[in-house]
Amino acid sequence: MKVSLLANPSYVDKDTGSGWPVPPRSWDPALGAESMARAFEVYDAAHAMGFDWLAVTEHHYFPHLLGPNPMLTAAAIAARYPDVRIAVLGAVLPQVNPIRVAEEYATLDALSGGRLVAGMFRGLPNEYLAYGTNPREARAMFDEAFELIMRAWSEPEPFWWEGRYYRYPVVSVWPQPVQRPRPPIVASGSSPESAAFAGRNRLMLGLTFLFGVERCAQLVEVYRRAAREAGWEPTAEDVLYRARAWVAPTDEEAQRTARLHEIGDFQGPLAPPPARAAAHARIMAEIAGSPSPPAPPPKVPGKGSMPEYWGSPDTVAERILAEAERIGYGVLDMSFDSFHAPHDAAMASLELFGREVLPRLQAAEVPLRELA
Amino acid sequence: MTVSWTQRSVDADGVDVRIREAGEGPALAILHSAGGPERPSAATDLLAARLRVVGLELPGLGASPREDRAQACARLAATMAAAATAAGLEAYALLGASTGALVATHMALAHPERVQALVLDAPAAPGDDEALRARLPELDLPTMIVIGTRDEPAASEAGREHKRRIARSDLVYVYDAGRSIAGDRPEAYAELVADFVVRREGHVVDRRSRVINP
Repeated sequence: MKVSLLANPSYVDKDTGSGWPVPPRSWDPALGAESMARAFEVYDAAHAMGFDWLAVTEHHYFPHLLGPNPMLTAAAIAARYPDVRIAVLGAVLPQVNPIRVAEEYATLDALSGGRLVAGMFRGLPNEYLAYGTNPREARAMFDEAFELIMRAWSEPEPFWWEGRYYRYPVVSVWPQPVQRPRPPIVASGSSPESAAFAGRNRLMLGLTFLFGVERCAQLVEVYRRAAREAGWEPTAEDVLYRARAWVAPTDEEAQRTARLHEIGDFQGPLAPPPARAAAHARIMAEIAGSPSPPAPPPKVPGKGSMPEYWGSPDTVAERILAEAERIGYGVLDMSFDSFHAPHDAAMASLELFGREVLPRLQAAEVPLRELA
Repeated sequence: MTVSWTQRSVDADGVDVRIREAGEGPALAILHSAGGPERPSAATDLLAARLRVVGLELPGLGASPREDRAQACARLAATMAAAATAAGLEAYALLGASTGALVATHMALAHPERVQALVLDAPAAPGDDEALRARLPELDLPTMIVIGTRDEPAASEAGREHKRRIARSDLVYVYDAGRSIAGDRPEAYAELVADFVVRREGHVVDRRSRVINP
């Protein structure tokens, strides 16, 4: 199994607002700079522990996950750590210029000597508001942008792209990716349609704990069937699963500190302030009612929830290995920095994981069930 | 939009060539493909709204009498050039699809003073005609090669080879179009072709305004 660490810089302060968007008036320059530095303390530690990948994500107007352009953080990671895979679990294709994505990914791949894992995602609903993307067109834009990027990385002659959503009179991307024919690509598998798309196009499948274990297992089946129809067999290491972990010397201690720091609460930071709740609900309903929204997360864990993997190192390792087999994933993308935990507590949890859980996961091979 | 097309026949080297025409403006001659002459379509109607469009039916196809000339692209090109002249065209842009693109290429080589811009729509691989392939670098006119992204990989390969050999050419991929680009994406096709006929190489410069409200 491969293990990835997601440590997006996270700006958190007791006065930082919740919901989306968070007003920029909360920004404290000193704390902002410190947040960036702290993220790199986490990456430093993960790199020293031997994590296989270091990952970043793309989110907009959201202090808890600072990464509007994940390419920038990825470039810093590439320069700082010479020997690890760099996973960009953006880019959100419907809201950015796809040629720019092709260029930035190729640049990252070239400057890292071929260590890029390139994500291609459709984004969270609220983020369609950030750059003025019509949610009704997001899926069709994603499909076209994906095909354009593939063409930009494979076509030996300069070309004109005459699309439905994109028109570029001259496309001739330099640098090209170092990994040929292209870097590994992770695409979101948030719906059966997108899981099948990933299978058909020989992409890695990206899943998150927000979908729930059973649904993830079903999406992996859809993915594997589509891949088989397209003439290839993915392994578990073609499936990435994002989850959160909290480790302490004993199960009791892990439970106590996870509750204390509200590690499992994913809803709190997303919940709009009361005065905006109704407006927010109306906007989300409008997006959800459009024909091509990303599948809404079934249930966002709220106050009192526990993270997906918590407990002593033994407990956490066993739970991960059992669930990896049940879902069929072979790349675990972990996050340790919760929105709430003090930095020192999160680092202690990460260090215990790195010392006692990580080697066991890396030594394990996840068997895939026979497809019915 | 209703475009009224007129049909007639012209004599070209003793061959009866049927033509269909509509519209006003810069002249575009279209050679109907070897797959059979196309009826006026959404794409040709849109073209006729901006251009004087003259469709020339390749002899040996459709309702035309079968002719041995269809076998030899170069001789067919001479016939079609004569037909274009007989139809009243002096200088014109020329569009050919599939095998028709090979005939159009021969016409452009033989009559550089008349053929002023060339559109090759999903052209057949130039390797199918070795003599023609060797002469592609002689072409010195604005040329647009149009390929559908859903067409076979061989179509892209043929487009690429034309692009490499014709110095003044643009290679255009039309997203989500198969072999029949005009049929699959008529609006995109007509806009591409009409802009190219009117603006030649200048068509790469975008004139769409991004102003939302003044």
